[in-house]
Amino acid sequence: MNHCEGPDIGLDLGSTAAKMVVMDNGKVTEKYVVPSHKWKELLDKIPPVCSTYSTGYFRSSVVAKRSCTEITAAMYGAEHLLDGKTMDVLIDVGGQDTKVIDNRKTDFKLNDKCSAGTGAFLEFIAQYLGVKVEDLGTLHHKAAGGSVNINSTCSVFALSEIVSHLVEEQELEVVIAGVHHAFASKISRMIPDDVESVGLLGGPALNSGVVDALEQVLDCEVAVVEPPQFVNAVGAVIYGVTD
Amino acid sequence: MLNHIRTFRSEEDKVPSIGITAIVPPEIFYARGCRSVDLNNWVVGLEEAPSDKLCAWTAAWRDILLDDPSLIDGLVVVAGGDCHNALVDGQRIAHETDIPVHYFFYPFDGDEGYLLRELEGLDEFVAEIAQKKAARPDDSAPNIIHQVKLRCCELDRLRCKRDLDPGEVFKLLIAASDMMGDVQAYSKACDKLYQQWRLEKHPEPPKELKPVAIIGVPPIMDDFHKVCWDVGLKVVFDEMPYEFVERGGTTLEEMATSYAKYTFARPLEFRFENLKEVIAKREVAGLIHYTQYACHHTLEDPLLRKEFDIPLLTLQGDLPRPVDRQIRLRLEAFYESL
Repeated sequence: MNHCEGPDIGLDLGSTAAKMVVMDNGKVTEKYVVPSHKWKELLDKIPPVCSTYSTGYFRSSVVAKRSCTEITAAMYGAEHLLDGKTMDVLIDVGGQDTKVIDNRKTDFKLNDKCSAGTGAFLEFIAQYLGVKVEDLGTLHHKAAGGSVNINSTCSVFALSEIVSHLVEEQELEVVIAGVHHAFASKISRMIPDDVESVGLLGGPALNSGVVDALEQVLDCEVAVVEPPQFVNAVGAVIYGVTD
Repeated sequence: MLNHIRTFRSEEDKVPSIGITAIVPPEIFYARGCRSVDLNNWVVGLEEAPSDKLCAWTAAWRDILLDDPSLIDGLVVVAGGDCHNALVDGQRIAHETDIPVHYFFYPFDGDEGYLLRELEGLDEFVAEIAQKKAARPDDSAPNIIHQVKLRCCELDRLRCKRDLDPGEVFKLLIAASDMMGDVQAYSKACDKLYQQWRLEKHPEPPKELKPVAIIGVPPIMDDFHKVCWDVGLKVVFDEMPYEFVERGGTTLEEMATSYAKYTFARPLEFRFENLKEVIAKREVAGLIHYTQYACHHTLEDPLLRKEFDIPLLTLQGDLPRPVDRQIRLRLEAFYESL
Protein backbone atom coordinates (compact mmCIF):
# COMPACT_ATOMS: atom_id res chain seq x y z
CA MET A 1 0.00 0.00 0.00
CA ASN A 2 2.95 2.34 0.44
CA HIS A 3 3.51 4.63 -2.46
CA CYS A 4 6.72 6.18 -1.14
CA GLU A 5 9.51 5.22 1.18
CA GLY A 6 8.33 5.96 4.72
CA PRO A 7 5.42 4.50 6.60
CA ASP A 8 2.00 6.22 6.68
CA ILE A 9 0.62 8.00 9.70
CA GLY A 10 -3.07 7.97 10.64
CA LEU A 11 -4.24 10.57 13.14
CA ASP A 12 -7.69 10.40 14.71
CA LEU A 13 -8.17 13.62 16.65
CA GLY A 14 -11.37 12.80 18.52
CA SER A 15 -13.43 14.84 20.96
CA THR A 16 -11.82 13.26 24.06
CA ALA A 17 -8.82 11.23 22.86
CA ALA A 18 -6.28 11.63 20.09
CA LYS A 19 -5.07 8.41 18.49
CA MET A 20 -2.20 7.79 16.13
CA VAL A 21 -1.12 4.74 14.17
CA VAL A 22 2.01 4.14 12.18
CA MET A 23 1.29 1.79 9.28
CA ASP A 24 3.70 -0.11 7.12
CA ASN A 25 2.51 -2.31 4.27
CA GLY A 26 -1.04 -2.21 5.60
CA LYS A 27 -0.01 -3.32 9.09
CA VAL A 28 -0.19 -1.25 12.24
CA THR A 29 3.36 -1.14 13.60
CA GLU A 30 2.92 1.46 16.33
CA LYS A 31 -0.04 3.04 18.06
CA TYR A 32 -0.45 5.82 20.60
CA VAL A 33 -3.30 7.50 22.45
CA VAL A 34 -3.31 10.74 24.46
CA PRO A 35 -6.08 13.07 25.74
CA SER A 36 -7.26 15.30 22.89
CA HIS A 37 -5.88 18.51 24.33
CA LYS A 38 -2.39 16.95 24.34
CA TRP A 39 -2.58 15.84 20.71
CA LYS A 40 0.57 17.72 19.76
CA GLU A 41 2.56 15.25 21.88
CA LEU A 42 1.81 12.74 19.15
CA LEU A 43 3.75 14.80 16.64
CA ASP A 44 6.97 14.05 18.55
CA LYS A 45 6.43 10.36 17.89
CA ILE A 46 6.04 10.71 14.16
CA PRO A 47 8.96 9.07 12.32
CA PRO A 48 10.22 10.49 9.03
CA VAL A 49 7.24 9.75 6.83
CA CYS A 50 5.88 10.46 3.44
CA SER A 51 2.26 11.05 4.33
CA THR A 52 -0.04 11.88 7.22
CA TYR A 53 -3.78 11.30 7.03
CA SER A 54 -6.30 12.65 9.54
CA THR A 55 -9.81 12.15 10.77
CA GLY A 56 -11.87 13.00 13.85
CA TYR A 57 -13.50 16.03 15.38
CA PHE A 58 -10.33 18.15 15.27
CA ARG A 59 -8.92 16.71 12.05
CA SER A 60 -8.48 20.11 10.46
CA SER A 61 -6.03 21.07 13.25
CA VAL A 62 -3.29 19.08 11.57
CA VAL A 63 -1.83 19.51 8.12
CA ALA A 64 -2.62 16.22 6.41
CA LYS A 65 -2.26 14.96 2.89
CA ARG A 66 -5.89 13.93 2.98
CA SER A 67 -8.57 13.86 5.63
CA CYS A 68 -12.07 12.48 6.03
CA THR A 69 -14.84 12.35 8.59
CA GLU A 70 -14.74 9.66 11.24
CA ILE A 71 -17.75 8.02 9.60
CA THR A 72 -15.91 7.38 6.36
CA ALA A 73 -12.76 6.46 8.31
CA ALA A 74 -14.68 3.89 10.34
CA MET A 75 -16.00 2.20 7.19
CA TYR A 76 -12.57 1.98 5.55
CA GLY A 77 -10.75 1.08 8.78
CA ALA A 78 -13.14 -1.68 9.84
CA GLU A 79 -13.15 -3.35 6.44
CA HIS A 80 -9.34 -3.29 6.33
CA LEU A 81 -8.90 -4.64 9.86
CA LEU A 82 -11.50 -7.34 9.28
CA ASP A 83 -9.57 -8.50 6.20
CA GLY A 84 -12.16 -7.31 3.74
CA LYS A 85 -15.20 -8.58 5.62
CA THR A 86 -18.03 -6.04 5.62
CA MET A 87 -20.32 -6.03 8.65
CA ASP A 88 -23.97 -5.02 8.14
CA VAL A 89 -23.62 -2.31 10.73
CA LEU A 90 -20.76 -0.59 12.52
CA ILE A 91 -21.22 1.02 15.91
CA ASP A 92 -18.55 3.60 16.67
CA VAL A 93 -18.87 4.70 20.29
CA GLY A 94 -16.96 7.92 20.68
CA GLY A 95 -16.26 10.16 23.63
CA GLN A 96 -19.11 12.52 22.92
CA ASP A 97 -21.06 10.90 20.14
CA THR A 98 -22.03 7.51 18.88
CA LYS A 99 -22.33 6.69 15.21
CA VAL A 100 -24.25 3.84 13.71
CA ILE A 101 -23.18 3.17 10.13
CA ASP A 102 -25.29 0.97 7.88
CA ASN A 103 -22.77 -0.48 5.44
CA ARG A 104 -25.53 -2.00 3.32
CA LYS A 105 -26.95 1.40 2.38
CA THR A 106 -23.99 3.70 3.08
CA ASP A 107 -26.25 5.38 5.61
CA PHE A 108 -25.46 6.61 9.10
CA LYS A 109 -27.02 7.98 12.27
CA LEU A 110 -25.51 9.98 15.09
CA ASN A 111 -26.88 10.45 18.57
CA ASP A 112 -28.61 13.79 18.94
CA LYS A 113 -28.44 16.23 21.83
CA CYS A 114 -27.83 13.51 24.41
CA SER A 115 -24.73 11.80 25.78
CA ALA A 116 -26.47 8.75 27.28
CA GLY A 117 -25.13 6.33 24.65
CA THR A 118 -21.59 7.68 24.48
CA GLY A 119 -18.26 7.12 26.21
CA ALA A 120 -18.87 10.28 28.26
CA PHE A 121 -21.82 8.56 29.95
CA LEU A 122 -19.71 5.62 31.13
CA GLU A 123 -16.94 7.93 32.33
CA PHE A 124 -19.46 10.04 34.22
CA ILE A 125 -20.98 7.03 35.96
CA ALA A 126 -17.60 5.40 36.72
CA GLN A 127 -16.33 8.61 38.24
CA TYR A 128 -19.38 8.89 40.50
CA LEU A 129 -19.10 5.24 41.58
CA GLY A 130 -15.38 5.68 42.30
CA VAL A 131 -14.28 2.92 39.93
CA LYS A 132 -11.91 3.02 36.99
CA VAL A 133 -13.68 3.02 33.64
CA GLU A 134 -11.42 0.17 32.50
CA ASP A 135 -12.68 -1.98 35.41
CA LEU A 136 -16.35 -1.67 34.42
CA GLY A 137 -16.23 -4.82 32.25
CA THR A 138 -14.79 -7.00 35.02
CA LEU A 139 -17.37 -5.72 37.50
CA HIS A 140 -20.16 -6.35 34.95
CA HIS A 141 -19.26 -10.04 34.65
CA LYS A 142 -19.14 -10.44 38.44
CA ALA A 143 -22.87 -9.69 38.45
CA ALA A 144 -23.30 -13.18 36.92
CA GLY A 145 -26.29 -12.16 34.81
CA GLY A 146 -27.92 -10.01 37.47
CA SER A 147 -28.98 -6.51 36.45
CA VAL A 148 -31.23 -3.61 37.42
CA ASN A 149 -33.51 -1.50 35.26
CA ILE A 150 -32.36 2.01 34.51
CA ASN A 151 -35.13 3.63 32.53
CA SER A 152 -34.02 7.20 32.17
CA THR A 153 -32.61 8.25 28.82
CA CYS A 154 -30.77 11.18 30.41
CA SER A 155 -27.32 10.68 31.96
CA VAL A 156 -28.04 12.90 34.95
CA PHE A 157 -31.41 11.31 35.70
CA ALA A 158 -29.89 7.86 35.16
CA LEU A 159 -27.43 8.69 37.92
CA SER A 160 -30.37 9.40 40.26
CA GLU A 161 -31.73 5.94 39.47
CA ILE A 162 -28.32 4.40 40.09
CA VAL A 163 -28.09 6.10 43.47
CA SER A 164 -31.58 4.79 44.33
CA HIS A 165 -30.53 1.23 43.52
CA LEU A 166 -27.40 1.55 45.66
CA VAL A 167 -29.37 3.05 48.56
CA GLU A 168 -31.66 0.01 48.29
CA GLU A 169 -28.48 -2.06 48.81
CA GLN A 170 -28.21 -3.52 45.32
CA GLU A 171 -24.71 -4.83 44.68
CA LEU A 172 -22.41 -2.48 42.79
CA GLU A 173 -21.72 -5.13 40.12
CA VAL A 174 -25.43 -5.63 39.44
CA VAL A 175 -25.94 -1.87 39.14
CA ILE A 176 -23.04 -1.61 36.71
CA ALA A 177 -24.57 -4.39 34.58
CA GLY A 178 -27.76 -2.30 34.57
CA VAL A 179 -25.78 0.72 33.42
CA HIS A 180 -24.39 -1.28 30.49
CA HIS A 181 -27.86 -2.49 29.53
CA ALA A 182 -29.23 1.05 29.60
CA PHE A 183 -26.26 2.11 27.48
CA ALA A 184 -26.86 -0.69 24.98
CA SER A 185 -30.61 0.02 24.85
CA LYS A 186 -29.96 3.63 24.02
CA ILE A 187 -27.67 2.64 21.13
CA SER A 188 -30.06 -0.06 19.91
CA ARG A 189 -32.66 2.58 19.03
CA MET A 190 -30.32 3.78 16.31
CA ILE A 191 -29.80 0.30 14.80
CA PRO A 192 -31.73 -0.45 11.59
CA ASP A 193 -33.93 -3.54 11.18
CA ASP A 194 -32.75 -6.97 10.06
CA VAL A 195 -29.14 -6.65 11.11
CA GLU A 196 -27.18 -9.87 11.18
CA SER A 197 -23.62 -8.71 11.83
CA VAL A 198 -22.40 -5.84 13.97
CA GLY A 199 -18.88 -4.47 14.30
CA LEU A 200 -18.06 -2.43 17.40
CA LEU A 201 -15.29 0.16 17.59
CA GLY A 202 -14.20 3.09 19.71
CA GLY A 203 -12.71 3.13 23.22
CA PRO A 204 -15.81 1.74 25.01
CA ALA A 205 -15.51 -1.42 22.86
CA LEU A 206 -12.64 -2.35 25.23
CA ASN A 207 -15.31 -2.73 27.93
CA SER A 208 -16.52 -6.34 27.71
CA GLY A 209 -19.62 -5.37 29.71
CA VAL A 210 -20.71 -3.11 26.84
CA VAL A 211 -20.14 -5.92 24.31
CA ASP A 212 -22.12 -8.39 26.45
CA ALA A 213 -25.03 -5.95 26.93
CA LEU A 214 -25.14 -5.07 23.22
CA GLU A 215 -25.23 -8.74 22.24
CA GLN A 216 -28.14 -9.32 24.59
CA VAL A 217 -30.09 -6.25 23.50
CA LEU A 218 -29.46 -6.72 19.76
CA ASP A 219 -29.75 -10.52 19.93
CA CYS A 220 -26.80 -11.03 17.60
CA GLU A 221 -23.05 -11.45 17.78
CA VAL A 222 -21.12 -8.23 18.20
CA ALA A 223 -17.57 -8.39 16.84
CA VAL A 224 -15.06 -5.95 18.29
CA VAL A 225 -12.90 -4.56 15.50
CA GLU A 226 -9.36 -4.78 16.85
CA PRO A 227 -7.77 -2.54 17.95
CA PRO A 228 -11.08 -0.69 18.54
CA GLN A 229 -9.65 2.67 19.56
CA PHE A 230 -7.51 2.90 16.43
CA VAL A 231 -9.93 1.80 13.71
CA ASN A 232 -10.59 5.36 12.53
CA ALA A 233 -6.89 6.25 12.48
CA VAL A 234 -6.30 3.18 10.31
CA GLY A 235 -9.31 4.13 8.18
CA ALA A 236 -7.91 7.61 7.61
CA VAL A 237 -4.81 6.05 6.05
CA ILE A 238 -6.71 3.50 3.98
CA TYR A 239 -9.11 6.16 2.70
CA GLY A 240 -6.20 8.50 2.07
CA VAL A 241 -4.25 6.11 -0.10
CA THR A 242 -7.29 4.77 -1.97
CA ASP A 243 -7.96 6.36 -5.36
CA MET B 1 -36.20 41.50 20.59
CA LEU B 2 -36.56 42.37 16.92
CA ASN B 3 -33.51 44.46 16.20
CA HIS B 4 -32.49 42.02 13.45
CA ILE B 5 -35.47 42.55 11.10
CA ARG B 6 -37.69 45.22 9.62
CA THR B 7 -40.96 45.47 11.55
CA PHE B 8 -42.71 48.37 9.76
CA ARG B 9 -43.60 50.03 13.07
CA SER B 10 -43.26 53.69 12.26
CA GLU B 11 -45.54 56.71 12.32
CA GLU B 12 -45.26 57.06 8.55
CA ASP B 13 -46.27 53.49 7.84
CA LYS B 14 -50.05 53.25 7.72
CA VAL B 15 -50.32 49.82 6.08
CA PRO B 16 -51.88 47.33 8.52
CA SER B 17 -49.65 44.32 9.28
CA ILE B 18 -51.31 40.95 9.63
CA GLY B 19 -49.23 38.06 10.95
CA ILE B 20 -49.42 34.61 9.38
CA THR B 21 -48.17 31.41 11.01
CA ALA B 22 -47.76 29.53 7.69
CA ILE B 23 -48.37 30.22 4.02
CA VAL B 24 -51.70 31.76 3.04
CA PRO B 25 -52.03 33.77 -0.19
CA PRO B 26 -50.22 37.12 0.21
CA GLU B 27 -52.27 38.28 -2.80
CA ILE B 28 -55.36 38.65 -0.56
CA PHE B 29 -53.60 40.88 1.97
CA TYR B 30 -51.98 43.25 -0.49
CA ALA B 31 -55.17 43.57 -2.55
CA ARG B 32 -56.91 44.83 0.59
CA GLY B 33 -54.15 47.33 1.26
CA CYS B 34 -52.62 45.32 4.09
CA ARG B 35 -49.37 43.38 4.31
CA SER B 36 -48.90 39.80 5.43
CA VAL B 37 -46.09 39.24 7.90
CA ASP B 38 -44.79 35.69 8.04
CA LEU B 39 -43.96 35.39 11.73
CA ASN B 40 -41.39 32.69 10.99
CA ASN B 41 -39.26 35.30 9.26
CA TRP B 42 -38.75 36.93 12.64
CA VAL B 43 -37.10 33.84 14.05
CA VAL B 44 -33.85 33.42 12.08
CA GLY B 45 -31.16 35.59 13.66
CA LEU B 46 -33.03 35.97 16.95
CA GLU B 47 -30.65 35.91 19.90
CA GLU B 48 -33.07 35.23 22.76
CA ALA B 49 -34.00 31.59 23.39
CA PRO B 50 -37.78 31.13 23.65
CA SER B 51 -39.43 29.88 26.81
CA ASP B 52 -41.84 26.88 27.07
CA LYS B 53 -40.77 25.54 23.76
CA LEU B 54 -41.10 22.43 21.69
CA CYS B 55 -40.25 23.72 18.20
CA ALA B 56 -38.31 26.98 18.33
CA TRP B 57 -39.94 28.24 15.12
CA THR B 58 -43.34 28.71 16.75
CA ALA B 59 -42.23 29.37 20.33
CA ALA B 60 -40.02 32.26 19.20
CA TRP B 61 -42.73 34.24 17.41
CA ARG B 62 -45.17 33.48 20.21
CA ASP B 63 -42.77 35.02 22.76
CA ILE B 64 -42.16 38.03 20.52
CA LEU B 65 -45.89 38.70 20.18
CA LEU B 66 -46.59 38.18 23.88
CA ASP B 67 -43.80 40.66 24.58
CA ASP B 68 -45.13 43.25 22.10
CA PRO B 69 -48.61 42.61 20.63
CA SER B 70 -48.51 45.99 18.88
CA LEU B 71 -46.23 44.51 16.21
CA ILE B 72 -49.23 43.26 14.23
CA ASP B 73 -52.85 44.34 13.73
CA GLY B 74 -54.24 40.84 13.25
CA LEU B 75 -53.13 37.22 13.15
CA VAL B 76 -54.00 34.38 10.77
CA VAL B 77 -53.30 31.00 12.33
CA VAL B 78 -53.11 28.12 9.87
CA ALA B 79 -55.05 25.62 11.97
CA GLY B 80 -55.45 22.90 9.36
CA GLY B 81 -52.52 21.91 7.17
CA ASP B 82 -49.74 23.11 9.45
CA CYS B 83 -48.33 21.87 12.76
CA HIS B 84 -50.20 21.74 16.06
CA ASN B 85 -47.42 23.54 17.89
CA ALA B 86 -48.27 26.61 15.80
CA LEU B 87 -51.97 26.11 16.46
CA VAL B 88 -51.51 26.00 20.24
CA ASP B 89 -49.14 28.96 20.24
CA GLY B 90 -51.57 30.87 18.01
CA GLN B 91 -54.39 30.17 20.44
CA ARG B 92 -52.21 31.41 23.28
CA ILE B 93 -51.83 34.70 21.43
CA ALA B 94 -55.63 34.81 21.08
CA HIS B 95 -56.06 34.19 24.81
CA GLU B 96 -53.40 36.50 26.16
CA THR B 97 -53.50 39.50 23.83
CA ASP B 98 -56.11 41.68 22.11
CA ILE B 99 -54.83 40.78 18.64
CA PRO B 100 -57.77 39.70 16.42
CA VAL B 101 -57.13 36.09 15.38
CA HIS B 102 -58.53 34.16 12.41
CA TYR B 103 -58.13 30.38 11.99
CA PHE B 104 -57.55 29.11 8.48
CA PHE B 105 -57.97 25.49 7.38
CA TYR B 106 -56.48 23.85 4.29
CA PRO B 107 -58.44 20.83 3.05
CA PHE B 108 -56.59 17.53 3.51
CA ASP B 109 -58.31 16.12 0.41
CA GLY B 110 -57.62 19.15 -1.80
CA ASP B 111 -61.31 20.12 -2.12
CA GLU B 112 -61.19 23.38 -4.10
CA GLY B 113 -64.76 24.38 -3.16
CA TYR B 114 -63.93 24.06 0.52
CA LEU B 115 -60.72 26.02 0.07
CA LEU B 116 -62.56 28.76 -1.83
CA ARG B 117 -64.88 29.25 1.16
CA GLU B 118 -61.86 29.34 3.48
CA LEU B 119 -60.21 31.96 1.25
CA GLU B 120 -63.44 34.02 1.26
CA GLY B 121 -63.43 33.86 5.07
CA LEU B 122 -59.81 34.94 5.14
CA ASP B 123 -60.57 37.80 2.75
CA GLU B 124 -63.40 39.01 5.03
CA PHE B 125 -61.10 38.97 8.05
CA VAL B 126 -58.42 40.94 6.21
CA ALA B 127 -61.04 43.36 4.84
CA GLU B 128 -62.33 44.09 8.36
CA ILE B 129 -58.86 45.00 9.57
CA ALA B 130 -58.22 47.04 6.44
CA GLN B 131 -61.46 48.96 6.98
CA LYS B 132 -60.70 49.56 10.65
CA LYS B 133 -57.29 50.95 9.75
CA ALA B 134 -58.55 52.88 6.70
CA ALA B 135 -56.16 51.01 4.40
CA ARG B 136 -56.18 51.78 0.67
CA PRO B 137 -57.04 48.74 -1.46
CA ASP B 138 -54.75 47.92 -4.34
CA ASP B 139 -56.49 45.89 -7.03
CA SER B 140 -53.29 45.60 -9.03
CA ALA B 141 -51.44 43.76 -6.25
CA PRO B 142 -52.42 40.17 -7.26
CA ASN B 143 -51.20 40.76 -10.81
CA ILE B 144 -47.93 42.27 -9.64
CA ILE B 145 -47.39 39.37 -7.20
CA HIS B 146 -48.16 36.95 -10.02
CA GLN B 147 -45.37 38.48 -12.12
CA VAL B 148 -42.95 38.47 -9.19
CA LYS B 149 -43.66 34.82 -8.48
CA LEU B 150 -43.05 33.93 -12.11
CA ARG B 151 -39.62 35.53 -11.82
CA CYS B 152 -39.00 33.62 -8.58
CA CYS B 153 -39.98 30.32 -10.25
CA GLU B 154 -37.53 31.05 -13.03
CA LEU B 155 -34.74 31.76 -10.54
CA ASP B 156 -35.62 28.58 -8.68
CA ARG B 157 -35.46 26.45 -11.81
CA LEU B 158 -32.27 28.03 -13.11
CA ARG B 159 -30.33 27.60 -9.89
CA CYS B 160 -29.73 23.93 -10.67
CA LYS B 161 -28.00 24.81 -13.90
CA ARG B 162 -25.86 27.73 -12.80
CA ASP B 163 -23.70 28.58 -9.86
CA LEU B 164 -25.71 31.27 -8.11
CA ASP B 165 -25.31 31.18 -4.34
CA PRO B 166 -28.06 28.80 -3.15
CA GLY B 167 -28.24 30.70 0.16
CA GLU B 168 -29.20 33.90 -1.66
CA VAL B 169 -31.87 32.10 -3.68
CA PHE B 170 -33.22 30.45 -0.55
CA LYS B 171 -33.48 33.76 1.31
CA LEU B 172 -35.36 35.29 -1.59
CA LEU B 173 -37.75 32.38 -2.08
CA ILE B 174 -38.52 31.93 1.61
CA ALA B 175 -39.45 35.62 1.75
CA ALA B 176 -42.14 35.03 -0.91
CA SER B 177 -44.55 33.90 1.82
CA ASP B 178 -45.13 37.55 2.75
CA MET B 179 -43.30 39.44 -0.01
CA MET B 180 -40.99 40.86 2.69
CA GLY B 181 -43.91 43.04 3.77
CA ASP B 182 -43.42 45.23 0.73
CA VAL B 183 -44.20 43.94 -2.76
CA GLN B 184 -42.22 46.65 -4.53
CA ALA B 185 -39.12 46.06 -2.43
CA TYR B 186 -39.43 42.32 -2.90
CA SER B 187 -39.84 42.68 -6.63
CA LYS B 188 -36.69 44.81 -6.78
CA ALA B 189 -34.77 42.24 -4.74
CA CYS B 190 -35.80 39.53 -7.24
CA ASP B 191 -34.74 41.63 -10.20
CA LYS B 192 -31.44 42.48 -8.53
CA LEU B 193 -30.59 38.86 -7.93
CA TYR B 194 -31.62 37.95 -11.45
CA GLN B 195 -29.47 40.67 -13.00
CA GLN B 196 -26.55 39.86 -10.74
CA TRP B 197 -26.81 36.28 -11.84
CA ARG B 198 -26.73 37.20 -15.49
CA LEU B 199 -23.93 39.73 -15.28
CA GLU B 200 -21.52 38.63 -12.57
CA LYS B 201 -18.83 36.06 -12.91
CA HIS B 202 -19.07 33.71 -10.00
CA PRO B 203 -16.15 32.14 -8.13
CA GLU B 204 -15.27 28.54 -8.76
CA PRO B 205 -16.91 26.13 -6.32
CA PRO B 206 -14.47 24.74 -3.68
CA LYS B 207 -14.69 21.18 -5.02
CA GLU B 208 -16.95 18.99 -7.05
CA LEU B 209 -20.41 19.93 -5.85
CA LYS B 210 -23.13 17.35 -5.31
CA PRO B 211 -26.68 18.57 -6.00
CA VAL B 212 -28.97 18.02 -3.01
CA ALA B 213 -32.54 18.91 -2.05
CA ILE B 214 -33.72 20.12 1.33
CA ILE B 215 -37.10 18.70 2.24
CA GLY B 216 -39.17 19.17 5.39
CA VAL B 217 -39.15 22.46 7.24
CA PRO B 218 -36.70 25.22 6.29
CA PRO B 219 -33.44 25.18 8.30
CA ILE B 220 -33.51 27.56 11.25
CA MET B 221 -29.77 28.34 10.88
CA ASP B 222 -29.18 31.22 8.51
CA ASP B 223 -25.79 29.91 7.35
CA PHE B 224 -27.09 26.44 6.50
CA HIS B 225 -26.89 26.75 2.70
CA LYS B 226 -23.43 28.30 2.91
CA VAL B 227 -22.13 25.48 5.08
CA CYS B 228 -23.62 22.99 2.63
CA TRP B 229 -21.77 24.75 -0.19
CA ASP B 230 -18.53 24.81 1.82
CA VAL B 231 -18.61 21.05 2.36
CA GLY B 232 -19.46 20.39 -1.30
CA LEU B 233 -23.25 20.16 -1.28
CA LYS B 234 -25.12 22.46 -3.63
CA VAL B 235 -28.75 22.93 -2.63
CA VAL B 236 -30.79 22.91 -5.83
CA PHE B 237 -34.22 22.56 -4.26
CA ASP B 238 -35.86 23.83 -1.06
CA GLU B 239 -39.22 22.18 -0.63
CA MET B 240 -41.15 24.74 1.36
CA PRO B 241 -39.96 27.90 -0.45
CA TYR B 242 -40.75 26.09 -3.70
CA GLU B 243 -44.36 25.86 -2.53
CA PHE B 244 -44.38 29.57 -1.68
CA VAL B 245 -43.56 30.61 -5.24
CA GLU B 246 -45.40 27.86 -7.12
CA ARG B 247 -48.79 28.66 -5.55
CA GLY B 248 -50.66 31.81 -6.54
CA GLY B 249 -53.54 33.33 -8.50
CA THR B 250 -55.14 36.66 -9.35
CA THR B 251 -58.68 35.75 -8.20
CA LEU B 252 -59.92 33.78 -5.21
CA GLU B 253 -61.01 31.00 -7.59
CA GLU B 254 -57.56 30.74 -9.14
CA MET B 255 -55.98 30.76 -5.70
CA ALA B 256 -58.30 27.97 -4.54
CA THR B 257 -57.23 25.83 -7.49
CA SER B 258 -53.55 26.52 -6.93
CA TYR B 259 -53.33 26.42 -3.12
CA ALA B 260 -55.41 23.21 -3.02
CA LYS B 261 -52.19 21.61 -4.25
CA TYR B 262 -50.13 22.99 -1.33
CA THR B 263 -48.38 19.71 -0.61
CA PHE B 264 -47.65 20.18 3.11
CA ALA B 265 -51.40 20.24 3.79
CA ARG B 266 -52.12 17.13 1.73
CA PRO B 267 -51.63 13.38 2.39
CA LEU B 268 -48.02 12.23 2.37
CA GLU B 269 -48.48 10.23 -0.85
CA PHE B 270 -49.52 13.41 -2.67
CA ARG B 271 -46.51 15.29 -1.31
CA PHE B 272 -44.11 12.46 -2.10
CA GLU B 273 -45.33 12.15 -5.70
CA ASN B 274 -44.77 15.87 -6.24
CA LEU B 275 -41.34 15.64 -4.66
CA LYS B 276 -40.31 12.71 -6.83
CA GLU B 277 -41.17 14.66 -9.95
CA VAL B 278 -39.13 17.74 -8.99
CA ILE B 279 -36.19 15.72 -7.66
CA ALA B 280 -35.95 13.76 -10.89
CA LYS B 281 -36.04 16.93 -12.99
CA ARG B 282 -33.29 18.55 -10.93
CA GLU B 283 -31.09 15.43 -10.93
CA VAL B 284 -30.69 15.49 -7.17
CA ALA B 285 -28.00 13.16 -5.78
CA GLY B 286 -29.16 13.19 -2.16
CA LEU B 287 -31.95 14.42 0.10
CA ILE B 288 -31.48 16.37 3.31
CA HIS B 289 -34.55 15.89 5.47
CA TYR B 290 -34.42 18.85 7.81
CA THR B 291 -36.65 18.75 10.87
CA GLN B 292 -36.82 20.57 14.16
CA TYR B 293 -36.62 19.28 17.70
CA ALA B 294 -40.12 17.96 18.63
CA CYS B 295 -41.25 18.30 15.01
CA HIS B 296 -43.85 15.90 13.56
CA HIS B 297 -41.93 15.83 10.28
CA THR B 298 -39.30 13.67 12.04
CA LEU B 299 -41.88 10.86 12.06
CA GLU B 300 -41.93 10.91 8.25
CA ASP B 301 -38.37 9.69 8.14
CA PRO B 302 -38.97 5.92 7.80
CA LEU B 303 -41.52 6.55 5.03
CA LEU B 304 -39.15 8.82 3.15
CA ARG B 305 -36.41 6.19 3.34
CA LYS B 306 -38.76 3.63 1.82
CA GLU B 307 -40.18 5.95 -0.85
CA PHE B 308 -37.01 7.57 -2.13
CA ASP B 309 -34.28 5.52 -3.66
CA ILE B 310 -31.50 8.04 -3.16
CA PRO B 311 -29.32 8.72 -0.09
CA LEU B 312 -31.11 10.62 2.64
CA LEU B 313 -29.65 12.53 5.56
CA THR B 314 -31.92 13.48 8.44
CA LEU B 315 -30.98 16.50 10.49
CA GLN B 316 -32.65 17.96 13.52
CA GLY B 317 -32.18 21.58 14.42
CA ASP B 318 -33.32 23.47 17.47
CA LEU B 319 -32.51 27.12 18.20
CA PRO B 320 -31.79 29.81 15.58
CA ARG B 321 -28.00 29.64 15.86
CA PRO B 322 -25.20 29.13 13.33
CA VAL B 323 -24.64 25.56 12.13
CA ASP B 324 -22.84 23.66 14.91
CA ARG B 325 -20.04 21.11 14.63
CA GLN B 326 -22.36 18.13 14.94
CA ILE B 327 -24.55 19.23 12.04
CA ARG B 328 -21.47 20.09 9.99
CA LEU B 329 -19.99 16.65 10.64
CA ARG B 330 -23.18 15.03 9.35
CA LEU B 331 -23.10 17.18 6.22
CA GLU B 332 -19.44 16.36 5.60
CA ALA B 333 -20.04 12.64 6.05
CA PHE B 334 -23.07 12.85 3.75
CA TYR B 335 -20.94 14.50 1.09
CA GLU B 336 -18.36 11.72 1.42
CA SER B 337 -21.06 9.06 1.19
CA LEU B 338 -22.36 10.60 -2.03
